[in-house]
Amino acid sequence: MNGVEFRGISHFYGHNKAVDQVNFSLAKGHIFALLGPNGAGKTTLIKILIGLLKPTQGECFVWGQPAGEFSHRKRLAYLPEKFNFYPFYTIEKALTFIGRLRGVTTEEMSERLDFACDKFQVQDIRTKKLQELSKGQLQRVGLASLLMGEADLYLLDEPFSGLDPIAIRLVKDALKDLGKQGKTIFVNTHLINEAQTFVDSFAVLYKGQLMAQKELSDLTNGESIEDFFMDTIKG
Amino acid sequence: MKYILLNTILKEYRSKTLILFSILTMIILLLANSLLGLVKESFDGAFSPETMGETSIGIFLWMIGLWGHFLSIYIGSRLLPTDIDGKITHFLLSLPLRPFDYLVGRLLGGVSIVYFFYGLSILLASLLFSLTLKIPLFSFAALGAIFSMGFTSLALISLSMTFSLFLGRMGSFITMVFLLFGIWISRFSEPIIWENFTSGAIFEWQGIWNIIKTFAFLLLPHLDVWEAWNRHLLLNGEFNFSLGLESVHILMVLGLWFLLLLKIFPARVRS
Repeated sequence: MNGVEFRGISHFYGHNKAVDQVNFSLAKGHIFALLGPNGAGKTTLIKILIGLLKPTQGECFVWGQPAGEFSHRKRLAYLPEKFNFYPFYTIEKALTFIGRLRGVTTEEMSERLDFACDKFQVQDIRTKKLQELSKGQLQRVGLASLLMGEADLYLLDEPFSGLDPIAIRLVKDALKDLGKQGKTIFVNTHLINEAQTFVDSFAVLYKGQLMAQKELSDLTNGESIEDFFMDTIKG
Repeated sequence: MKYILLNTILKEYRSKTLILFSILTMIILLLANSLLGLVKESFDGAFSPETMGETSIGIFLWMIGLWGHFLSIYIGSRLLPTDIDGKITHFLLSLPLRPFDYLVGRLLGGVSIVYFFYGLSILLASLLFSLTLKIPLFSFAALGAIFSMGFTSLALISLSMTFSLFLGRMGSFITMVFLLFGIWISRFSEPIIWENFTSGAIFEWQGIWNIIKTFAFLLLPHLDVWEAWNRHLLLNGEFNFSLGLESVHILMVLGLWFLLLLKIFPARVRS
């Protein structure tokens, strides 16, 4: 069974077509990157997956069932492009609140919180309020929120935006760890070089159209994802 | 739902405007206390301190009740737009949280703040008036009135939340203020409409103004009726609520606006 499947998805915002007849699927347990420049329609697809948007045309499935079902949300973790949360919460209060909504019990909470804060190096600043954090620190809190609960599918929209190289490395390591645990990971990014080091497969979305889908192992002669991406959108 | 309710209280507690509401309430309280001191000096012996105390609390709470309507529409107008504009709703609804639970949590959180506001006001008023009159004051009528004021607050918050999805924070607040004045000024909830309604006369053509009044009568909370009951309860200590049709009506209004809210909310979040 596919982890995620898009069948003939098109979506319009008013008269503007954001995505056009997109078809692709992603196997369970894969780390997948959807690559494309800004405005390619990547966020639209991720919102359709969560159920925040209903596609104008086509169907989208998660674990073989229509996307957006409430039961999926218990097994899904999502990071928006700009993580924004109540600024008056401290990091630990925000993560605890998210953990509670994702079903983390009081007994597990402290352990989860330590694990998530350690993983994204926000342990030292966990008593700081969100309004006192830099953009990069806030994004790391958003990433830590992904670990506040059990999920099988991780959806990350531009997770590297605003991060310094050290934090980018942390994110890639965390995604690789989750991949090793058999989790399905769907990452939207326009930072193509970053994808090279952690994905199993990728697809290129350009001006709302799916240009190619490929396994990383299919690239030949030392071809990089960036070379492939540039050749695909030019040609 | 529980976590959203607590989050609502915390979120609104942080709002600077609530501080302004509290300061203005304190001013009303101090003015009322000064007035009570004056009355006590002028009419010393004419009324018992108990009567003066209970009447003062009644008048104060009635004024606070009107003030509470503004607080309800202020809170109701900002509960959803602050989350939607900050894209926090997107994130929250990606978690295992149903829109129903989110909205009920927000609604109950909002009404909890209004109840807290009423409760604190009456407590402070009782303390202050007790000190002025030098007798312990406690009014069960005030507690009953606070309870019934919460119903109208629920309806007002629900209505403001729905308007805020179309009109934004400020638009909803202004519309609701006009509506509130409209309800008081037009006194559309006069009993004649109930009579017309039960006799079937409501379905006869009675001109456009009457049709508007009838719709307003059916779809908006009858604040003036509830206020009249509360006033009577506070000033006379008698419970003369005719709860039959009116309690069905307030529940119907609350349910109707909440259902509309539930229907519109997901579409508004998507846009």
